[in-house]
Amino acid sequence: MSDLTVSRLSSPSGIIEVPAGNQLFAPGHPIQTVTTEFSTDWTTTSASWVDTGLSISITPKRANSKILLRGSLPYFIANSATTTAGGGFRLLDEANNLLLDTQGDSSGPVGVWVNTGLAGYKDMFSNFPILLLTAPGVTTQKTYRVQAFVRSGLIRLNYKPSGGPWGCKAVMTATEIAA
Amino acid sequence: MSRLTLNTMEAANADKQIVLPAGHQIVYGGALLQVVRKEWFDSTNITADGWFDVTNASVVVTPKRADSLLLVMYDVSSNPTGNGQTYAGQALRLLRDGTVVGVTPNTHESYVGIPTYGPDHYQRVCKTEAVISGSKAATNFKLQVIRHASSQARVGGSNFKSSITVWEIAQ
Repeated sequence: MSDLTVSRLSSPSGIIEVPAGNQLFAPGHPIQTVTTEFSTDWTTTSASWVDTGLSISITPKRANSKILLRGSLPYFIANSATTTAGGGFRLLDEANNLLLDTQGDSSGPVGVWVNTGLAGYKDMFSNFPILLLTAPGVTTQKTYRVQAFVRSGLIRLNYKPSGGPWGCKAVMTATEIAA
Repeated sequence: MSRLTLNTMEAANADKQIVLPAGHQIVYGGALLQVVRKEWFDSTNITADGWFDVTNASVVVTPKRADSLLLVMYDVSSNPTGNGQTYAGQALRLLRDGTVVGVTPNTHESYVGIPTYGPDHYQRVCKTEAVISGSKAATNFKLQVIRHASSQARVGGSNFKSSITVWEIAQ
């Protein structure tokens, strides 16, 4: 094992390169980023928490790293039966630890919600943002997944209405930051 | 070229900081090589059909590596208004050097429909696109907006700050 004690590093080319397969761990520095996309058109009316299919896995290189999770989930909520539509989303890990919860009360979540106070068809499209910094404390694979719960009407992800070359997709990224 | 093989590296100063001279860079898989950010408060209002540039919503990045991952993250104040309809909707899309990145969203991306006239729908659209730099040439990312049907599309305005942030990550 070699130790080097320096104050300043430089390179004639301006670039100091760590060879492929090698890694530099410096506190506060990102050391890996993974991304995932999910474009399945998915609908639920479930009045209990169900997996949406959006998930991301990352295997931390260091047990003391932080994981920065970011994402956006295009959703659609609708209802014609009452004055309201919607429910909520939450984020769990592979051990079912709840990492991001949603607003709600004893009747269910209202994290994504519209209330017009009027009977008749109502709907809303929007994006659910995910932003979380977590400390997994392990070097085994972590899997983070999004669940949905419908309190009124339905929730639909990645809805692609007809009539155009349209699409939409959910994207999640996980960045490991060295401690 | 010199090659150094070692396990640990420490700072020789009280600040415990190893400093690279300005312009120098350490490159390794997963390293954050640069961050470029553009913020704007400008208002964009659209009452016609088709895609229109969002005022000031563009950023130029000159990648340091040809094989980097570019994470393009935008956080935009989106506020379509009903314009005399029972709905209000609009969508944003990201272009790179004039080509759409990913999929073109449906025009309902930010949308609300209610059983009466005149809704507004204020929200923030926070999205990420991941692309490979492909070269070290300067590349432009910009946002465009489209209204849904006869709505009025609106981005920003007043004190509603929006932004595009690009992370370049070495692979």
